[in-house]
Amino acid sequence: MVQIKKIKKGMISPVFIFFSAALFAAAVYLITQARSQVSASQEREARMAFLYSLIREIAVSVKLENAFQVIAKRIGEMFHCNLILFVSENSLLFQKAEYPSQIKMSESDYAKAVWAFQNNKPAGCHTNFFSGSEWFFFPLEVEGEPVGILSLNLQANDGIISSQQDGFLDATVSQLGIVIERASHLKVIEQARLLNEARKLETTLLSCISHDFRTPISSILGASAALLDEEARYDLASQKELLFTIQEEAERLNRFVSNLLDMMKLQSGLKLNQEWVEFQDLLGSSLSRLSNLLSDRHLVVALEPNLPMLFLDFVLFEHVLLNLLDNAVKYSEPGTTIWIKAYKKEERIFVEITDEGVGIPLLEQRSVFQKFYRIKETARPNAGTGLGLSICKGIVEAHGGKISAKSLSSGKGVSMVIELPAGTEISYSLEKEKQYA
Amino acid sequence: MLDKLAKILVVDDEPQIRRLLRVSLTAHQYQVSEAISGKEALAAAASESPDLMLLDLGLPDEDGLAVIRQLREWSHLPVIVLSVRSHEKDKISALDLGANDYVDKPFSMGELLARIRAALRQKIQSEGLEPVFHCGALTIDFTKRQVAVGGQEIKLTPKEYDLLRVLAVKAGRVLTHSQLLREVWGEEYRDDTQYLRVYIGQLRQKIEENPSLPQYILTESGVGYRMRVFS
Repeated sequence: MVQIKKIKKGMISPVFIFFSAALFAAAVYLITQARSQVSASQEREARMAFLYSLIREIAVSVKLENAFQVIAKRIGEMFHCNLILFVSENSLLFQKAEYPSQIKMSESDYAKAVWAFQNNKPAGCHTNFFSGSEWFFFPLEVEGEPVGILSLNLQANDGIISSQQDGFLDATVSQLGIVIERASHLKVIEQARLLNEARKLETTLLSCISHDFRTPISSILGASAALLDEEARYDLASQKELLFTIQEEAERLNRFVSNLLDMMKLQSGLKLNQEWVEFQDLLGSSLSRLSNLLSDRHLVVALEPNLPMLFLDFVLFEHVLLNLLDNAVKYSEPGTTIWIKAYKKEERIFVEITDEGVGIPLLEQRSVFQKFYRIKETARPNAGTGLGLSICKGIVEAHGGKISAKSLSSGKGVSMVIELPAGTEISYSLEKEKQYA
Repeated sequence: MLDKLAKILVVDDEPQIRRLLRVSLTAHQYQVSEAISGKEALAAAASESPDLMLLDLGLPDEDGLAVIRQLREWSHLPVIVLSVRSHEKDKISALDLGANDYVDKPFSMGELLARIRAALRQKIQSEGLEPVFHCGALTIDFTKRQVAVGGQEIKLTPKEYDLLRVLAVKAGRVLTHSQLLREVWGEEYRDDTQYLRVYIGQLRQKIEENPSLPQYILTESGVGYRMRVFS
C-alpha cells in the first residue's frame, strides 16, 4: 500500500519534491507483474521528470477540479487506458475526473469501487477481490483514511503494468492524495468561514431584533392598553397622540422587516429584473412614496437633460433611493435642503443625494456600508437597523455600480454618490410622429 | 352616493385583518361579508352577489391567483388584491388574470378606500364614459381629443394622447406595462417597456408641473402606471 503522508497542503516546493521522491523509494505496493530490468537510476530519473512536470501543472491549476483533470489525463496518457477518479465527500464517492473525458463505468463496477473504498483495499483485476473485473480499483488515502478511488481499466493493456508505470503510478497517487486533501481542507476552511459569518449574523440579528423590535412593540402595546383602559380618561388630543404613536412605531417595525428581508435576499444571491428605466420616473416614484417624510425639507432636483436611460431593476433601485432619502431626512433638521443630482460623465451615470445633516466622520465613511454598522456618535433614538446602507451597496454593486459617502467642503452633511455604467445607448427608434394639432 | 351602498366580500384567512376591514369598511358605510378560503370566496361570490371582492393572495387552501382565474370564467365582479410589497410578479399575474387592482400590505385605509371607489366607479361607468375627464387642473375632452392643463391647451402626439386616454379611462386603477403597451402600441409590443418609459417621460414633461414629482400619472414600481383621482 502506498502510504500518503500528510504534507503541508498547497505547498509545492523543492523540499516537497524531494520528500515525494523519497516516498517512492518506500512505496511498497506491488502490482503482481514482474518488474523489467530497467536500471533503477534511469527509472528514478524518469519518475522525477514526470512528477516534476505534473506538480507544475497542478500548481498552476486555479481550481482543484482542474488539478484532478490534469492528473487523470496524465495517468491515462501514460497507461494508455481509461480511468476514472472518484473522490469521497461525506463518505460518498463522486466521479471527479476521468480519461478520456465523459466516460462512465457500469453500475456493478461502481459498486466494486465503493467496496474498495469502504474496505480500503485494492480490488479488481490483479487482486483477490473481484479479480474478473476489467477495472483495477486503487484506494487513495490520507493519513490512513480513505479519501477516494483511482480506477484504471486495464483491459486494453492485457492487464500489464510495467515497473516504470508502476513507479509513475505510485508517484501520481501520492500527488492525488495531496490534492484531495487540499480540496477537503479548503472546503473545511470555507465552511468554517461561512458558519462563522452566519453565527455573527445570527448574533447581531438577535440583538438587533430584541432591541430594535422590542422598543416599538412596547410602545404599541403600551399605547393600545392605555386607549383600552376604561378607567383612564384621555381627552381627544391625548387619544390622537397615542394613536400616532401606534402608527409610527408600526411603520418603524415595517421598515425593519423590509430591510431584513432585503438583506436576506441579497445574501441568497440577487436575481435582477433589469429593464430600461428613466431616472426621472424612478426618482418620482421614490419621492412620492416619501412625500410625508420630505414635507418639511427643501428639495432641489437637478437632472441633466437627455440623461440616457438606465438598465436596472426598478423596484430594487427604488429601495436604494428610498434608503438614501430616508437617511438624508433622518440625520438632518427640518427646514434644511436635500439636493438630488443626476448627470453623465465619461460614460458613467452619477446620482448624488446630498443633505445638510450631521454628516459621517471621515474615518467611518467606508464602514457605514457594512452590515449592522452604526455611527456611535450620531446614534439617535430613531436610528435604523444599520442595514440600510449595506443593502444599498449590495444592490448598486449587483448592477455593476459603486456607492460612496463624501464629506462636503462646508463640513456639514454628507453626499451619497452612486456611480453606474451608462451602458450602451438603447437601439430602438421611436416613430416620428406628427404633432397633433 | 351610489357606491356607499356597495357590498364588499372580504376574503382573508387572518381573523385580525378581517376584523380590521369589517370595522373600517362598515364605518365607511359599506356592507361587508367575509370568507376565509378560496372555496368560500367563490361560493359567496356566486350566492351573495357582492359588488366587489377584496382578496388576499396568500390563502391557505388555494392560491389567490386560482380564485381569480376561476371567478373570471363566469363573473366580472371587480377584484382588488391584497398583496405583499416586493412580490411584483404575483401582482402582475393577478392583474393579467383579471384582477382590477391591488393594495400592498400593510395598507393605509385611505389608500384602500380610494382603490375601492375607483373599482366601483369603473363598474358603473363601464358602458357610458363622461365626455370630459377632469383630474385636478388636467382636463381631457374625449370628443375633441383635446388636453388642457389649467385651461392651457397642451399639444400631444397621437401616441401620447392614446396613452393618456387609456390611463384616464381607467383612472384610479393600475394598468400593467404590458396592458398599456398592448392597448396603445398593439400586441406585438407588449414587452417593449422602453417605449412606455419614453412616452410616460414625454407626457409628464408636457402635463406635469414638476415631472420629478408627478401629480397625474403615478408610477407603480415594477408593475405599471396609474392615473390619479383627486377626491
